[in-house]
Amino acid sequence: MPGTILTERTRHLAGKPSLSIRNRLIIFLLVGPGLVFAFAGLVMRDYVRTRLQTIFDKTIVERAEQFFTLTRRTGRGVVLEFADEYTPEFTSPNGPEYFELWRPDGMLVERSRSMGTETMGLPEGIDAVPELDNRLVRGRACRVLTVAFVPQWVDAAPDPLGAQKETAVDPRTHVSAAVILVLARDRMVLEELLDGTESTIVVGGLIFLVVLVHIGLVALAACMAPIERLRTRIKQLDPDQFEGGIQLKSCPEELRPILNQLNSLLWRLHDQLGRERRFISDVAHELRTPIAELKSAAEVVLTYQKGAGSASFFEDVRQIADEMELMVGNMLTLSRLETEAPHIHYQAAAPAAVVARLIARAAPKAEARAVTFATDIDPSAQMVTDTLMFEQIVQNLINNAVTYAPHGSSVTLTWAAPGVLHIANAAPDLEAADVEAMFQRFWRKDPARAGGGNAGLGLSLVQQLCAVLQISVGAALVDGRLTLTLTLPSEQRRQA
Amino acid sequence: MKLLLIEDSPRLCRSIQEGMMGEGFAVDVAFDGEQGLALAETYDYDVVILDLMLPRMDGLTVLKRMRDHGQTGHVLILSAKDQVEDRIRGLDVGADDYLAKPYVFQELVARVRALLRRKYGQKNPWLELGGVRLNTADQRVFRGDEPVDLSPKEYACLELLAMHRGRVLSRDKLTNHLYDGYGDVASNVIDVMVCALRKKLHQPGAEPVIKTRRHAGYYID
Repeated sequence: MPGTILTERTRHLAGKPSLSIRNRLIIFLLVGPGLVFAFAGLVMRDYVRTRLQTIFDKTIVERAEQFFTLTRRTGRGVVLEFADEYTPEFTSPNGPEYFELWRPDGMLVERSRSMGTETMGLPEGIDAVPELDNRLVRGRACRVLTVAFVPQWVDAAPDPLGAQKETAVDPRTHVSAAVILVLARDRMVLEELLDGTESTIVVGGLIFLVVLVHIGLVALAACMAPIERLRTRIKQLDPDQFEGGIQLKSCPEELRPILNQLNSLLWRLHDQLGRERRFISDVAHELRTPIAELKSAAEVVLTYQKGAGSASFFEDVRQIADEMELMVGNMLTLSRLETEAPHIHYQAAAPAAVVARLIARAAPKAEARAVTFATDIDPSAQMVTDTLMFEQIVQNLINNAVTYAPHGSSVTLTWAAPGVLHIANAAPDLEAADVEAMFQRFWRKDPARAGGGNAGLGLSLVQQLCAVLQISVGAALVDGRLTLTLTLPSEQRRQA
Repeated sequence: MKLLLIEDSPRLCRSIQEGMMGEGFAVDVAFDGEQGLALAETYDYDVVILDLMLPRMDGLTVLKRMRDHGQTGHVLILSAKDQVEDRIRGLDVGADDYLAKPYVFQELVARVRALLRRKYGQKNPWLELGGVRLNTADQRVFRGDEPVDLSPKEYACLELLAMHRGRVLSRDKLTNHLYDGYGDVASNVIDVMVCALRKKLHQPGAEPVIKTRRHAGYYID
C-alpha cells in the first residue's frame, strides 16, 4: 500500500529516532521543575533543621550562662543559688531539663531534682568552650551541654586566685576552682517541630508536584494540540486534495511558516501531478491515434483487399511509422535529458553555415507551403557550442516556423549580436498567453491532435537542450509576429 | 445508408471511408468541426461518426449544437479519449454510442449497423420481405433458402428500402443515401440498380419485392 511505502521512506529520511517533543516538554517542564523543587525541599529541610537545632542549642547555652551567674565561689566552696520554684523545668523526672554541677575531682556539687537518683556522669576533660552532644538522659533523648567554668568569687576576702571581679578565669589553668556544668534538655519538642516541618515541606511539595503535573499536562496538551491537528490533517491528505492545501482553523505563529511551506510544496506537487497526468494522457492520445490509423488501414486492406489502395496503405504505414519514430525519439531524448547528464562536446562553428544546412533540410516542406527564408548572419561570425545539440535546437525552431507560418510567408533568421540568434515568422493565430504555454509538452495551438508529424514536443525539446547548453531561449509576440531568440552564454560567443 | 465522418486525420478518414464503402455505405467526410456541423445540419445522414479532438470546433461542441438545433440523427463518437469520464461526458451530451481508438474496424461497422437498426426500429437483424430474407448484421440475402449475391450498393439499396418499408423513397432520396456527396450521380443510376435487384430477387409467380410508384419513387410493401 502506498501509505506504508511512504511511511518506510519517511522513517528512513527522518534519521535515528529521537526524543519526541512531548517527552522533551515533559522533561523540561515537569521533571525538571519537579527535581528542582525536590532539591529545594531537601535544602530547605536541612536549613530549617539546622536553624532550629542552632536556636535550640542557643537556648541551652543561654541557660548555661544563667548557671554561670548563679554559681558562686566562696571561702566555703562552690554555691549554686538555684531555686526550684523559679525553674520548674528542672523539677519533674520527665524534664524537660536536667543539670549536674561537678567538680573536676569527681564531686557532684549539685544536680536538678529532675535527675532523681540518676547521674549523667563526670564529663571527661575540662573545656571552657561549651560542648553539645545528643544522649539519653533518664531514658529520654536529650541535647546535652558540657562546659567548665570558674565561678565568680563572692566572698569579702580576696580571691585566692587573684582574679579581678567580673573577669572570666580559664578553668583549664585553675582546675581546683573550676566546676563542670552538664546541662541537658529534652529534644522531644525539637524533634516534633522538625518532624512537623519536614512533613509540611513534603506534603506541600507533593501537592505542588501533583498540581504542577496536572497544569503541565494540560498546558502540554494545549501546546501540542496545533501540532496534533496538523499531523492529523496531513495524515488524512489525499493526492486529490493537494490543491486545497492544509487548512487549520487556528495556527500558532511558530507553525505558520511550516504550514506555509507545506502548502507551497503541496501546490507544487498538485501542479506537478496535474502535468504528469496530462502528460500521460497526452502520450496515450498521441500514440493511440497513429495506432488507430494503422489498424484501420490494415483491417480495411485485409477485409476488402483493395489492390489499388494497398500502395496508399503502405505509404500511410510508412508515414505513420516515421511520425511515431519521431515522437518516440523526441520523448526518449526528453527523458534522457531530464535523467542523465548528457555528454557535451564543444567545438567552434560558424552559425551562418549551420543555419544554411538546416534551412536546406527544411526546404522541401517549406516549398510545399511556399514559405521562404531570409537570413542575416555574418558569414564570419563564430560560436563555440555542441553543434549537434545546437543543430537540433535550431532545426526544431525552423521546422516549427515552416509548419505554422502562413502559406507564402517568410521565416527570417538573424544573428543580431555575438551569440544571439533570432528566428521569426508571422503567427497571426497566436495570442499572448500562447507564448508562455508553447514550451509545454504536447502543446499545440490547434487543439486537434491528428498526428501529421507534429506531436507538440519540439519546443519542449528545444527548452531542454537549451538548458543543457546553458543557452537562454525566449519567445516574443509583437504585432502578430513571433520571434524566438537563442542567447548563447558569454563563454560560447566569439567575436567575428 | 449514408454516413457522415467528421475526423481530422486524413489517413483515418481514408481507411474508414474505404471500409464503409466496402460495406455498402455512402460516406461524406468533414475534416473539422465547423464543416462537420454544417454538413450535419444541412443533409440527412443515417449515422454521424464523430471524432472529439477536431480543429475549429471540437466534437462535443458539434454534438451539443446538433442536439440544440433539434438534430436527432444517431451519433457515434470515435475518439482516442478512452477514460470513463470521457465516455460519460460524450453520452450525456447526446451521443448514441462511444468507441475508443484504437478499435477493430468490424466492431465499428457492427455498431453503426446497430444504430441503423435502432433508427428504423428494427431490433431483429433479419428482415422478411415476402419470400426474400436479408440479415442486416452480415448483409446476407436469401431468396427462399437460396443465397443471393448482391453488390454492396445493391444490398444498401435493398436494405434502405426494407428499413423504410411501406414508404415511397424518391430517386433523389435514394441517391443521397446511397452515394457520397450530393447531386453528383447520374440520374438513372437508381433505376438501373433497382432493375438489377428485381432480376436477382425475382421469384417465379411472386410479385416483385421492390415496387414502383409512378412519378414518386420506389417502395417495398
